[in-house]
Amino acid sequence: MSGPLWLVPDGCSEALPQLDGTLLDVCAAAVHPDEIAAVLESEGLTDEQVRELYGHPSVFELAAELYERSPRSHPEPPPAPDPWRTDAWRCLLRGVLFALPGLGYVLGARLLPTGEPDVFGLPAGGALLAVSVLFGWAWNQALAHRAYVLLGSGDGGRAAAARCLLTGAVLGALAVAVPALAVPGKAAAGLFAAGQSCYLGAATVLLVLGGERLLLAALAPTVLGAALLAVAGVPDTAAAVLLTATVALAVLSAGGVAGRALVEEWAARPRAERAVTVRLVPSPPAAACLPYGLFGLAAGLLTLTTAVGGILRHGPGTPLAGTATLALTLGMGGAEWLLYQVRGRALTTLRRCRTPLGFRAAAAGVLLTALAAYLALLAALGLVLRQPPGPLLALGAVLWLALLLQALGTAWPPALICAGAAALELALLGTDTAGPATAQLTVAGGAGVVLLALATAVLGRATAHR
Amino acid sequence: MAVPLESLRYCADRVTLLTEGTYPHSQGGVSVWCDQLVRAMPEFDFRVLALTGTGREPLTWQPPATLGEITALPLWGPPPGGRAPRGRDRRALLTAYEGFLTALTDPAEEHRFAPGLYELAAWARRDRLSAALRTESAVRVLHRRWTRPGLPTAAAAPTLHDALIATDLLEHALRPLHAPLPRTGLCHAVSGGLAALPGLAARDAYGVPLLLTEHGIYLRERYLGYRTAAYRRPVKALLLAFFRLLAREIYRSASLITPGSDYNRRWEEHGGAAPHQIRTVYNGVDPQAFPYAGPEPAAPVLVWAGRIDPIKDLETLIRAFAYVRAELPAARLRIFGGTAADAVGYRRRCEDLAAALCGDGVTFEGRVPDIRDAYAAGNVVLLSSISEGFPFTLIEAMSCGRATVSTDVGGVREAVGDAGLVVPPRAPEAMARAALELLTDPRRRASMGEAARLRVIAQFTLRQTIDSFRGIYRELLDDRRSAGAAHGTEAVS
Repeated sequence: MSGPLWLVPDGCSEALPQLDGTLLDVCAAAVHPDEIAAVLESEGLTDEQVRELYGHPSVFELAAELYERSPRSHPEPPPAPDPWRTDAWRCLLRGVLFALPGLGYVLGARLLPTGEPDVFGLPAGGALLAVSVLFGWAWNQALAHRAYVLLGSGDGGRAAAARCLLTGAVLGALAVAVPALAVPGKAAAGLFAAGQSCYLGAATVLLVLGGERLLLAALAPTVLGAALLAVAGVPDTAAAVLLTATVALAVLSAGGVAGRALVEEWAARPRAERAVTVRLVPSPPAAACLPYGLFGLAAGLLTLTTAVGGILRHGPGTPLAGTATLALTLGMGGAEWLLYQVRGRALTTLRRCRTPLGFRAAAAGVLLTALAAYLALLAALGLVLRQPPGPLLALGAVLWLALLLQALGTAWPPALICAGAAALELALLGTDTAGPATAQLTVAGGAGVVLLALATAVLGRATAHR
Repeated sequence: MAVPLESLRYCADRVTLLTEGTYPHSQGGVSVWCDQLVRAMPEFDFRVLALTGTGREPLTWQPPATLGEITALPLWGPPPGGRAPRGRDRRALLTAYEGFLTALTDPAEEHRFAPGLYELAAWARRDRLSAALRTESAVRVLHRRWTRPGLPTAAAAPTLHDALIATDLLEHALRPLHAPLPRTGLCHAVSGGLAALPGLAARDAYGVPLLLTEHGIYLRERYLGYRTAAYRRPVKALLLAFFRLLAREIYRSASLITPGSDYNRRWEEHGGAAPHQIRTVYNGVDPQAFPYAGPEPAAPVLVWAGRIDPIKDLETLIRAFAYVRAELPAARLRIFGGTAADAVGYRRRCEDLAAALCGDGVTFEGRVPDIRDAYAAGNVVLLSSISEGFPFTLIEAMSCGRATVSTDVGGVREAVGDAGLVVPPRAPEAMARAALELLTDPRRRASMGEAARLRVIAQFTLRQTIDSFRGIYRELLDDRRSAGAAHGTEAVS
């Protein structure tokens, strides 16, 4: 069984040797005679054998003849796996993880002292909480983005991301907790804000490093407390203990997951000591996460104005419209799954299309279908929670389109548009020009249209689908 | 009075080693050879410009104290910095890029490759190239080129995705042009292909001579690699045309080409190198470091040593051993060596095959701290690779005075000559017959082993390799100095 069995010698240099299927395929799919020569050599054919059997002076001449005589074919490679394939259960889990902390507010609301209305007419301690939540979301969005970039940067990326997350989460939590606790006269609100910032930091660490189940486990005490509250009632101390338990569990899990990533890197470090290597790898610039932070702030503002818009417009005493926020957070899982769908289908379309124009049209179709699906989901949730659909859908569309644009790599435009929308909405409410529902509908609606146009343009580019 | 080394090196000539995926970040034959060069010639100021994967790979070689700066340039991972050009610059760059693509897609325009490449290199020196190749316009340029009627690729119906993939692959391939180029001394590319790109650019911009050593033929390996890659034909055709024309340009520009064996000359001459440019320099080992391995083991033992990888074709080895064992039930096969990280699955398959065919006759010994013990552990050393340059394990085994049975690939026949048996690759029966011949004839084995060691001492010593390269370096550097003087410019060295 020596040498290339599939070339049957016939001693005649002009005749094409009897080819079997493999060599025929190779010759037909080859892009240049040298490719055939490389394959023949790798099968063990030497120049002497070629001279003896076929009369050609070398493998290259034989390959040239084979290339000329075989018809060209274009075999399709095996279908590539969809890189955007996602587990629907994971999206659902993440959606639940976004929604459950709301129960913490439900439990914690009882702990906040009722007292004089705060600035802008917010309930007591509300301003402190609002500021801390906004800062927390903005900071953690930026942190999560930087950590994802580091995570995807190859060997040692996971450890680099863990280091970044630990430093960032601790800094962010302290930046909120210390001033919050130092505000005189608002101890309960300050404690709640501090606990909330710690939870946000820990949740960011766990969500980036893949510890979703640990986070779910950490939320168990809060869920338990809210369930008891709905059924039987919970004493104040118990509520405080349960909330603290959640925060503590989350922080410990986050520390554990990040610590484990660092330990694994340390254990895998090679023996070579000297590191005189000059690295031409630019580490991600710190400014790259600014638009994500800005978007976090804007999204937080837009969501909060939904909840407290009534108070800002009509004065203290108006009930909080928290269910709109609830609808949004419940829909986050579906939103994430639809984002993956858009990217996956757009990539499939790219693989089919032969012209840029055709691709742009097809991509727009994919986008509109997914957006319609998300809005349908939100409308259903709104119906269940008895929310007026208009402002909810507008806000949902803005947030979803902005997230899609961020996923496609365009960060500044959606951040600026959302920030502008938030500022405009606050201005409208503050100057009493319009009611909360109308303000939200017009501003968010306008922003949504702009974002839709931008998203269609970006999705229609081939380079968005690397 | 001894002159301190530092002052000697102050006026030492600089040699920039250009590597890809080897020294000093990976193990392998080429790495061993690079390390030999750097350690044995402290009178030169060696630097390394290494192309790596992500840029975060740690060093796996302890660099000698005489080695200067090691620059690692990642081919994958985050793109090099720089902003895409605008306005007139952008149009100029895209026109240059279109000309370059014309050379790659139209067989009649291949002469435009070199001017196009050097123009792109100039843009890369201004930190503009990678960023420009990542824009949508670059993809459109390629797509327009491809869909021109009459070109061979139009028949393959290239999609937009193909254009995206091909542009990305080209962008990664051209990243070495962003490296800080050496301006003095000479460049020594330890393989063809992308590693030599900075050398081409340095020669074009600053006149730095380029020396090319080919242990294996880069273009040939790319052809074989792309056969199993999941790219459609247009992408494959474009990239392989790039590598082919790049090889041609490298051969044209190199002052000297030193293949590791005469086997490699064929591809070089076919690829456009002039015969007078090519000078074979074989790999070498230090015969004192690899002395006679001592008495053979009592039982018949076959030994294989190396890094476990599919290209070593251990399956043929195990099958051949099954035949040997049928004749000689007392025979054993010992496989020494670590496993490459991406070959763990392959090793497991080999272990399963060994267990199925030979029961407990085959042992995988893993890494051995001193490779000489591996050669000493056997009566005959086997090599079953389907592709080799000029294998170190073979000449080390020969230096240890062991008889060898190897496959006729690459420079193996030139290394072994008459001092070992050579069989066709992928031929377990032939390998088994050769091994049995040697195992059953101790006198022949002994005389062959002796002849092998004498052959290494005569032709393949480390000193000879180093002396050859030292002479080559001096020759190229003196040529450059005299060329500089002849043009009236002061030679900077």
